[in-house]
Amino acid sequence: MNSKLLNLGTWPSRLLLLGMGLSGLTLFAQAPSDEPAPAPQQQADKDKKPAPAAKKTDAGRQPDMGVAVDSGRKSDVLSTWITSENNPGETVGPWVIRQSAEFGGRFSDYTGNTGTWDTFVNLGTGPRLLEYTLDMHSPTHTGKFFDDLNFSNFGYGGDPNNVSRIRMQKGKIYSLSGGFRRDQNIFDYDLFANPLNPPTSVPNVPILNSPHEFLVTRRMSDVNLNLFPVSKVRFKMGWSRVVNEGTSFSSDHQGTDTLILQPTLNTTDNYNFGVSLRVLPRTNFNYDQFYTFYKGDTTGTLAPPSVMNTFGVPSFTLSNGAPVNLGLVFNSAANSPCAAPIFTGAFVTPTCNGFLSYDRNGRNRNDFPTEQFSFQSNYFERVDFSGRLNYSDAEASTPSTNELFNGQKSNNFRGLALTGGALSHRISVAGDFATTVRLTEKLKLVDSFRYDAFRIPGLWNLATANFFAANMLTTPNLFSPATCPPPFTAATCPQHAANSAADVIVDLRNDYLGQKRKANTLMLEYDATKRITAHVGYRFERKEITQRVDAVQIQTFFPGPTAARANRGACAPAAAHPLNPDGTCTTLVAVADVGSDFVQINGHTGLIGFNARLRDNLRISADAEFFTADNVFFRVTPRHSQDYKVRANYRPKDWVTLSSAVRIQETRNTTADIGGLGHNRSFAFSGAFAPAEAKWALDLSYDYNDIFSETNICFTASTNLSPPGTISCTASGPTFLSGLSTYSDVSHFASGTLYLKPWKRVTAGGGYAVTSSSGNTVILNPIAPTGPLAVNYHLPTASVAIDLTKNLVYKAGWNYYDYNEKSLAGPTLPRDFRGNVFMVSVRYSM
Amino acid sequence: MAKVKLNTSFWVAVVVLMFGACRIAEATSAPFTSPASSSGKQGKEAKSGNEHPADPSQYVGTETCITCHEEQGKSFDRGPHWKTNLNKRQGPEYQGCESCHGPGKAHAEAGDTDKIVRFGGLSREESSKRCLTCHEFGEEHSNFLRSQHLKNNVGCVDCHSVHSPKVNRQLLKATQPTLCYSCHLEVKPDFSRPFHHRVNEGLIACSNCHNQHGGFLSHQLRATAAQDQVCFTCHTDKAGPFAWEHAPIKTEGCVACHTPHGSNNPRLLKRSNVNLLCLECHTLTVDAPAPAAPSFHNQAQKYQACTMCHTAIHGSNSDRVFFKP
Repeated sequence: MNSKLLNLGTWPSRLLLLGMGLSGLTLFAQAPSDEPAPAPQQQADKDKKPAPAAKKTDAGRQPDMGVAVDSGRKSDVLSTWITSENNPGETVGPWVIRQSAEFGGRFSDYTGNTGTWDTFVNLGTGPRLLEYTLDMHSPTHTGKFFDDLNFSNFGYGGDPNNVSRIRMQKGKIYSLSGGFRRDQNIFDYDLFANPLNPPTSVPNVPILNSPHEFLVTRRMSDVNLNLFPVSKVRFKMGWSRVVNEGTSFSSDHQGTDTLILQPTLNTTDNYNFGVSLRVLPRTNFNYDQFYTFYKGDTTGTLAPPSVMNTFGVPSFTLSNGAPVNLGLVFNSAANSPCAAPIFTGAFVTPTCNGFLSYDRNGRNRNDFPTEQFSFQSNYFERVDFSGRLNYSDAEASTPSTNELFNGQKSNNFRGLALTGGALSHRISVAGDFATTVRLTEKLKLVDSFRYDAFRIPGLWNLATANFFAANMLTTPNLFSPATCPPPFTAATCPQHAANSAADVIVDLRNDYLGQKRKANTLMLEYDATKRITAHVGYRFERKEITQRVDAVQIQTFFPGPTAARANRGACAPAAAHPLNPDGTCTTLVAVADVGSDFVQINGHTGLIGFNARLRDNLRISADAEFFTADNVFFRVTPRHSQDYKVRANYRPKDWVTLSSAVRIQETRNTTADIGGLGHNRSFAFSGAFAPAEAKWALDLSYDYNDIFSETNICFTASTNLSPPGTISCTASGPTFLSGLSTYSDVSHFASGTLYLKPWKRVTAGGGYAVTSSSGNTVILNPIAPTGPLAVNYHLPTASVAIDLTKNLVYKAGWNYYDYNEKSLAGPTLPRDFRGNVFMVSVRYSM
Repeated sequence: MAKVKLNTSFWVAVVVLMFGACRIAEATSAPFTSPASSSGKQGKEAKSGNEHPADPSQYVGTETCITCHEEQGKSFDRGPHWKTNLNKRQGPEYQGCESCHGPGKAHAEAGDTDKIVRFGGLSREESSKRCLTCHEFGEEHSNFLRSQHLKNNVGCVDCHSVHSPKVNRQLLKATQPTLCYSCHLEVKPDFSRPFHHRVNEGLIACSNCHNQHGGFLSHQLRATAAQDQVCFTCHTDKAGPFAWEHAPIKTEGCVACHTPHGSNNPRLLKRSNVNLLCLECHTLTVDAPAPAAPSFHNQAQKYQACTMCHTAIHGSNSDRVFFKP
């Protein structure tokens, strides 16, 4: 067991204890107790004839259908008699106040992989405020500042998800809503971005955690105010904020790939203000302004040895005692982190690729001013329409990017210092117009047009100074005519290798990405009866994508340890690149990816659909889309696709609901080079059984999902490791091999939840959900496991709620999490885990 | 996979048969008349749904209604609709019970249920139109009559209950996501997969990403204020704009690489191995502009995890191969 937060003893004893506790309380609950005293309003109701809706109120006593396996997170989904909604509440001034609070504790205990547990579940032990609700309502609508106020929250005290919401309103004056959500987001699925170091490597260093692990908390807040919500002129304003804060890890490539520790902080504020006008009958105009401001303050630094140790990488030093970071990739057969010998005695060979230090920062400040005009009207009897025009000009500025690398990589590269800035814009225009024309009583023509265009011009101007020395024990020499005079052979000159990169690179780059999209959907809708309708339509869309790169580099080469060394790289040969008077060489270099692409895609989609409420208790709908395009921009985007959806819902009895949904998506791009083929087929069924007078309810569901795709790929792999049957896919030689990238994910999902109300005061529930996948994919590296594609994930749950008194409910819950990958773990830790989460709480309502 | 080719004439036949079936159903089905549409002016109102006869003498006011319909009156008063009583400028047809159920004088006098608009007797479009009389105004609801939901015969009353809501806020019949799962069965399993958005946990709701009332975008998706992908509402650091964009993110969307609801694969990726996801585009080809992975990217070695080096894959302001942000 990696972590044992609470020792609950052995399994049988845990269950016995839980059972005893629940049984005792259940017996207590069976004992006669005083009926709740009727509230004054209820007393008055007794004298009156029951209204037709009274039966529905009784039906509300049935257990609610819920989402299986939810109880581990929120308090739980069991509804009991005692809720703030059903309670009479207390009258204070003009308000009737209802409240409920649920306090309790959560006890969790798991074995297996801590990282995966935290990624999937992350429920710990401790006291919790599981839920709190406050409802204030003024029946006479005479509250001074508000007539209604609702507040609710859950998850406080240590759960990863906390949510609070508030809503208030005062008649026709205002409505206000606000919310706060916190998500402690942990990710450590160890296969992700893992170099999968082979066990045969010397040294053998398995990487135990995902190099892209993160522990980030996202906080989301929002406030929205509507003024005069039923008047002809209404105002709305709002603010929201998203903050991501915490620690994340990344990797950096400098000869070898090492772990970067990233203190993460980015903040986004959104402001909006709008006005709605109803100056014409049945017509509305809205004008809104939005402003979004993003601040990105994430930085990166070399992960210290202690952190590297937790990832499974031991500490290394140079012969001078300085710690050196050899990165995460240890594959001696592939010369990673460097060709043998990696070690000289107990120390790292100083010419090996490694990091002595690394830092980078570059604060982003992005702002998105946006304005929007929208309208809607059904002024005309047979025509209604709506539209929107939206314009935004975002600017993203990174005025000062800095990067410092101190280490060693090939060709005597000993470090770099990069500085510069970037500026980009996103100018977007989006226009929508949709109209419905009622041709006859039964026939409608619906047209929807969208124009959506954006362009993102971006530029950067970066200057990089590179430093060179023979190894990590040597300090690189800076070039200066004073310390490196002709003939440039002094020991104080930069120590370039023959293939060393330029000493100074000024990188000027202008990039452009733009897209224009026009789409028009024309639909004919026919209402055969009030219960049966059908539609047929056609959508045309044209996408034009432009991508352009204009870039140039000014490269300067310093001499040393010989004069001729300045004529290396882009400054070679010497005959074409005369040296400057100080012995340096400067040249203009065209960047390889300069150029432009323009792609036009014309897409055609046929739409057809049918739906019927054949009887009050039977509903069927079906629709299909058939898409074809003459081109693609993204290689795996399908040129042809079909999408079929069928849904049916049948209630043979008031207490039985049977539903089914079938969705089949078929995609293909049969261009010879691509050979893309795929499908996503889902067949889902559910049954909900909740007899009105019975003391039970049952919720069952099953889904079969079959995802498949295949695409031709062309890749490089060691010949002896490549999949059988691969052949060269280029005339340039056997380096590239062709293959078929296949991916399949066949999943079965089944869930069942039984709710019981054996006694008036007791509600119990038990459920089970399981996802079982048996997928597969092409594996280019034999030591890579199938991993998440073949798994069983079991999520049983049980809970009980007992109404102890008229305001007090005792609750207990249990969730079990069992994650099992069916394949071998691979050269890292297994990711399986099993865990129990128990919850005990008391809910008080008034 | 076996391919089934269906020619044009087949689809023409399907359309003809479908409409033919509709005609037959129309001819043979029992007349489905709403009480209000049985005759006269009220019938026209119910058909158009959003018209209200303006003759004040036909209206009796909420106080009269609740003398019989006390429970409904309580629920009406408890919910947000009571404030229609404050809307004095637009006349009685926009106030109280009769703003939804139409003029009640005939019904009140005769006690005849056929003399009042009852939502159970209306088609989904008709009943929705009555709601939209007030709620259509504003972008949230302005496309409901063209929405996928209504096209599939799902109207306001399928999710909302004015008189017996389970959730007071928005008068819903059930909380999200249970309500959504009741039809979208195939989506429910995605949120029980190992990697998923925290919908079942109550952190986010379906309606955070989708506008259940319809909209201008496919899948009834919402968008950021600047009409960019809804994902950037929370994943703000991925929005850019970047000096050097990874083009498919902006042209195809996040769904080019991710499955948004849930996945077995980490980071909700479409593939379990990141290198395959990359190679399917970055491969030697004549059909797409994405550059191929260079020859030194030996997939059997460390290059199997492309994002180990290309860490800033969503866009960069300092590196054209996305090595750093």
